[in-house]
Amino acid sequence: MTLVDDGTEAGEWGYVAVDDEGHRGTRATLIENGVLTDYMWDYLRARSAGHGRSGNGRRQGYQYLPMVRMTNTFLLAGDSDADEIVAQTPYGIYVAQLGGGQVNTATGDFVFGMTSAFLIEGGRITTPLRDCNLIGNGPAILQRVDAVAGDFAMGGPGTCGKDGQQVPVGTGQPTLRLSAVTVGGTAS
Amino acid sequence: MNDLNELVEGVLGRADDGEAMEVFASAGTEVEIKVYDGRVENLARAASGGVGIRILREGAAGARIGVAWTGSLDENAIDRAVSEARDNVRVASEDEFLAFARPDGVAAASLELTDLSVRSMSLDDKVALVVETERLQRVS
Repeated sequence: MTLVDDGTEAGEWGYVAVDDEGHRGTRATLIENGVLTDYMWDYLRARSAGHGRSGNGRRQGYQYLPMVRMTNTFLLAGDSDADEIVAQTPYGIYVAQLGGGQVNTATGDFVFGMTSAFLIEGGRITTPLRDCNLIGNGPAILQRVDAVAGDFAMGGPGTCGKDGQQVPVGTGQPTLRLSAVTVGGTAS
Repeated sequence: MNDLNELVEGVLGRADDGEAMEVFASAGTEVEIKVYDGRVENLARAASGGVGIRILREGAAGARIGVAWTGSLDENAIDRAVSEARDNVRVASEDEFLAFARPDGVAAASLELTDLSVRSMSLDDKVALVVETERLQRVS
């Protein structure tokens, strides 16, 4: 699995010719083939760590201070077939679209709503689900990715919130499978 | 844009000896038109602008930064913000890693991110465009 943050993707919502500290946007590989290789950097953190800047110093506007933020962050295509991943899943949940969520950036704990999701039974997409959430921890859940398909696509325009600041961002990924994840919802 | 550049240059000129100053200014206008069933349901026009100021002063154990902003481009409001940022420097903690980013020599990119013809459209033309777009949506 390879994860990239790329502010140079012209035409994507998180594009930054230069970040809000005057550094040009860059493409940084954060995870390469499952190995953590880099972080995003603003000027303050780069100086304190003796690292180069990466064009991730962003601010919502003149009322706010710059801090480390994503630009266009996406997971690159793998070599599995999306239909095959579903066909090889005896029981699971197919998430067609995620809704809003929250992440504790200190711990990595997250909760995201699913706005469009279906059961997978016997390798087939069956019953639609509603009012349910995905709950977990970011670093832990990344270790449960056991298949990544080749059908990469960028998603629609997004907004990322952090410490009260909203900035435009882009996200993208192919179909991927988690071996396990906590699902929350209301029983009926 | 040139007006904003001049404004920023003017604010930067107010830095005292021993101070480094960063100025972030923005200004914009907004028109929102909502049309439902062929009729304008909501029309709003708004203008916004402001200036954020950071003043940095080096100390024995690092730099101190004071921050202030004003939601106005008025000279008096900017003066007050500069004064507040300067006051805030006095109570800030020193940090050896605090600094302002310096230009890296990369030329500013020429961006064409918006359709500039929208800026010269009259409000009536904008309303007509939205009404027609909504009509096409209903008949499609």
